[in-house]
Amino acid sequence: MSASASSSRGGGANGAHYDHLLKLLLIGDSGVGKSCLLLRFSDDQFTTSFITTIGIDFKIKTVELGGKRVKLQIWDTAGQERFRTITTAYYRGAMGILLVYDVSDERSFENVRGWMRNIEQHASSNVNKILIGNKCDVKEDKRVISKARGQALADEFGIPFFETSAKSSVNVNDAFMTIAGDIKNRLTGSKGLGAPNAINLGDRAATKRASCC
Amino acid sequence: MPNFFERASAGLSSLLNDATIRARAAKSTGAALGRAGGDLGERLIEALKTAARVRRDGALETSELCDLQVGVNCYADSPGFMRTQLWESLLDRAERERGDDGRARSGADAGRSEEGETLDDMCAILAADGYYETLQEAFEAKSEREREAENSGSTGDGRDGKEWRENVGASIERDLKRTFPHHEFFVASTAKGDAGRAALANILKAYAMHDSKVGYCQGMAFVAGLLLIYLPENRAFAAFVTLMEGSDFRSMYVHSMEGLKVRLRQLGAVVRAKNPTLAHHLEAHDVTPVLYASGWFMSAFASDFPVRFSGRVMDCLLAQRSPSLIMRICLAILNEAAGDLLKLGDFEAIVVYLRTEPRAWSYERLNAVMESALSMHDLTDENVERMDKGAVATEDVVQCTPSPALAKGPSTEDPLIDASDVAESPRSPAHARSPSAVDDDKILDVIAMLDDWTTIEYDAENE
Repeated sequence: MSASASSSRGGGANGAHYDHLLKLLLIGDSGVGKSCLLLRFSDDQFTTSFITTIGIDFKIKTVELGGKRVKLQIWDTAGQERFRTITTAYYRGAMGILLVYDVSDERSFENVRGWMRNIEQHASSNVNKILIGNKCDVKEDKRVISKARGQALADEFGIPFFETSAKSSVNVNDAFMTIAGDIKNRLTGSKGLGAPNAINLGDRAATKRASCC
Repeated sequence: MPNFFERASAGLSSLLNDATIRARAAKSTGAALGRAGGDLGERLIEALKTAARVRRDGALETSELCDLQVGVNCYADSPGFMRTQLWESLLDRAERERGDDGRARSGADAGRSEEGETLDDMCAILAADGYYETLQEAFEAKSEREREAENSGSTGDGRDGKEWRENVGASIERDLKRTFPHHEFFVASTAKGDAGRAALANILKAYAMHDSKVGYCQGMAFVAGLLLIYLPENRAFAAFVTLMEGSDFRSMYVHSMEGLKVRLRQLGAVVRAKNPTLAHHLEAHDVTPVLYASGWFMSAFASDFPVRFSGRVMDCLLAQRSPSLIMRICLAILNEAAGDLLKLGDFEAIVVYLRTEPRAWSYERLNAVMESALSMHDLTDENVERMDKGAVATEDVVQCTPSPALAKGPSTEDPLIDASDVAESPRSPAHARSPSAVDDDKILDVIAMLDDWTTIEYDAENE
């Protein structure tokens, strides 16, 4: 992540002003839908004809969070294991990490522990994390990881959990906004800039979470 | 060039041997000539299109036309099958060279035992009948073995076996639909697309068996896919192996991805040496090559640039087999973008520009990039390495070396079709041969044929 981009800067080349810049990182096995989640969140689109992500990429989305304009710089990474040699360098600058698996792919769920170890090794110790089980739109006979198993693993790690569908646009916004809110709370709290009325994200997340598949 | 049109009317006749077709060609190219007036370029393009249509009896779509890069010459809007012929010829040459070297070397240092297969050994293996098919069978057998092992609860080849299934078999399957998803050869839910994907899977699986240390790495599918658009499956496989070894693509795809890291570092050094203003701008905004050039290197521009462009890159790669070719194109893109980039004062804007703009540049702009890259005669593999070493030494401040910017070796490389004679990768000594050797008859034939195409309207006019 760029050292030049900092939360104290108030503008970008596109002229969009913001109060905070938050850097997020998407990780998880190849093919779990990281790029699709990002496209759904940033552009509210879905495509089945994505090309393989080679190396790393990012997208920008500016959102409103607690009355502040927050720019999210969201990094997308190649999932194939050997690319970690390239991508782990970008863990350090991440304020939040979205760890994604595919509810129809056992392997991707089993590998979550490996990804968590990677985070422990390479990311800041206080980085915010969230576990995402993507493709929750799949038919029940294709699903191999129950929501309860996902939730249990997230509980074990003590991190928030969402089942999402980039395809059907389920919970994608909530997942991103939840981790963004958590980061913002952490940063504003620790800096003593406390904004008690900053986050009312919980309400929105709670209402939509009920509709999760 | 007064005799330009006259040179190869004989070749043309052999191509247009049907009298009816000749008449049709004469009619339409005459019209094309009338429209194009004195503009030679336009006339050539029209003539080539007409020739292509005639050749395929009207069945040829515009999408099947390609820009063929032969040495410094670009033959715009050539029929796709001309590229097939060019690549086949270049492949023949590569195989012939390896064959020759193999014979010479096996006498000289017989009995040597090196780690792994030498290029010569591999050439012999590749040439063996049925090798490609054997690899595919071996892949299926191994997959089946691992599947059974997993189902029965035994370990098969152990943890490695499971990893192999996940990293090779499953990875390839997952990437098939994410490789050229919009190209007619690979698009989903069509018979043609299904066939293309199946062929792509075959090549990648065969390569994984051929080179188990690499297995499968993302990025490889685009290179193999591009080859498949123009070559039959088994020839695409042979060309893929040639690239992996001859142009050292292989080192990018190994588990450490060392070759990619080296190239990205080298690109930084090259830009510092060749375009210091831009390098300073990029570095001041923390824009490092890994952010924009990983895909350029790993897919030889095939992952997101138009096939029209990446096909030309492949023309050169198969002819030159020089890793620095991609480096030159990277630099040419950056040079071309420099004017725009220097106006951008923001990390995100610069990276987004580099990731999205160049691939969408107009044909003319990408053409300029290609021409510029091919004119960078001093950016040889050797000089790239020298710049990189200079930069590394400077950064480490451990040893004193000449300024990397001044490190220009003898300018021996010329991006002509026989540049492989002088522009060899130091890692593939088996290719080294006398610079004077000119045994490129088949390639010259192809060039002659290309020139033939350009003369069509002359011949047709004189009917």
